[in-house]
Amino acid sequence: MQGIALDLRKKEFELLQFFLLNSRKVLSKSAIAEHLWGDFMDTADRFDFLYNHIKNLRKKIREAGGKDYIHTVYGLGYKFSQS
Amino acid sequence: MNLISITNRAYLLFFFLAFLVGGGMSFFLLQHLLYEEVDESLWMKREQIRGELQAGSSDISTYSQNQESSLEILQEKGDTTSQWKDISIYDKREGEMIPFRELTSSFLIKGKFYRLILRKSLIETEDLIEVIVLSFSVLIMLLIISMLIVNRWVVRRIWTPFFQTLKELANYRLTDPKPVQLPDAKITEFQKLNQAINALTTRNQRDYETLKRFTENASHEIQTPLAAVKSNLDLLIQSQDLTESQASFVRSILKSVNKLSKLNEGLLLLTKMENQQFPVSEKVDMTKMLLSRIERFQDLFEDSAIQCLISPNTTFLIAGASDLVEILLDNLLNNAIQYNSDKSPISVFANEQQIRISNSGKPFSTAPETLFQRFAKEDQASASLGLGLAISQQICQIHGLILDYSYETGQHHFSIRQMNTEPE
Repeated sequence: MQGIALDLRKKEFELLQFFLLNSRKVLSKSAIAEHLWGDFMDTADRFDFLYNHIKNLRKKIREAGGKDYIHTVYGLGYKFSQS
Repeated sequence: MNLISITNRAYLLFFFLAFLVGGGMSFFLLQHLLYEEVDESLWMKREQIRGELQAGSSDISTYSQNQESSLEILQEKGDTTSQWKDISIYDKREGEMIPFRELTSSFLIKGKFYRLILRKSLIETEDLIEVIVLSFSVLIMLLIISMLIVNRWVVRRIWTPFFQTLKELANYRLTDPKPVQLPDAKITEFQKLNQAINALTTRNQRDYETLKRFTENASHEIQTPLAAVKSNLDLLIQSQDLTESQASFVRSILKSVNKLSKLNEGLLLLTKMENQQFPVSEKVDMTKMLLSRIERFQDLFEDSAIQCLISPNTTFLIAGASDLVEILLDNLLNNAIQYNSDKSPISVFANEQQIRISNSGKPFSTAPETLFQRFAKEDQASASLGLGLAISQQICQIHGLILDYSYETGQHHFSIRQMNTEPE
């Protein structure tokens, strides 16, 4: 991305990678959580940890001079797009 | 109290009473009989002397005057009655008092009054009674002792098949596909017992299998339509022209579908474990795995502090399935993070024998025993599925581990240890 390096933590990197692979697609929170977490988890809808990671990722992209690529879609999920 | 001591107690009590009553009765009967004998012989002697006196000889000096008999002529008139008495006379030779039976009788013969006193020593009679009582007691004692021994032996022998059946039943597990092996019993009652148990366990096993297969099939069958719903929902949220209200419907559908799918996954996992579809043959280092899971958690939940009390180089080795152990540790860590009430860190402790994960919080309102049941939730409205701990316990069970819960000083502790080791 425009040759600027981002200092990301492991999970933030995984998150960004997932977004880039599925750019311009709405990703539901559960799909993202499953990607980051993987296995069976006893909590069906505890996604606040996700929110934190997305918040941090957004912040880091903004600080590196990027636009806010991550859009929240109706509270259903997130979408990564250039527009 | 066991079978032998109960029967022995009953026997002893009964014997004691029988001994007391029977012994006393036979003692008095014997005494009475022997006294009668003595009395009769005294009377016979009296009759003999009277006959002789009547026959003519009035010389009483021919009759010996001694301890056993004395005959005298009375000067005045006496009554012609007989009297029986028990007396004691001091014997110089023996140096002790000797009991005697005494017959005093007076009679009138040829105008003369005679008084005859006849005595008979009872010492032989008493000796006889003593010997009889003694031998009787010894006999009874021997009888009691042999009865107890026989009883013990008989109980041991007769009840052997029963104890075998008991042992089999104690080891019986419904989840174990191996049927109970009951020994052949020769005794009809035990045969019937074993038949009844066999019928019972077979029936239970069959019902259990049916139920298990139903859960398994249901979970499998639910999976496909659920996946279809999920992928359609995924497509639906891609559409640009969703209105705000439509989106909120979709949101709630997503939430429910998600929960349903997790629930199904959990049940499927439980069923698979019940069917023993996970070979527990890998060597798993619990501490190493715990550390890597904690690291993952810390990546994921940045704000939660985990205090690790694991000294380096400790290994808690078990034979198991690493996938399952991972799920177990994740579940426990996740629970600890989720229900940690304040900002105090979650503490994780591990050594060669056990792992303990603790978090602070209020005590549960429900009984701790129900904690590991499926769908047991502390708060019915919570997002938790209520399967986490049930799954954790099942995983522990198939690995031969024990999952313990305890609560002390505001801390919930969940600990995992090997079976046959004592908790610390």
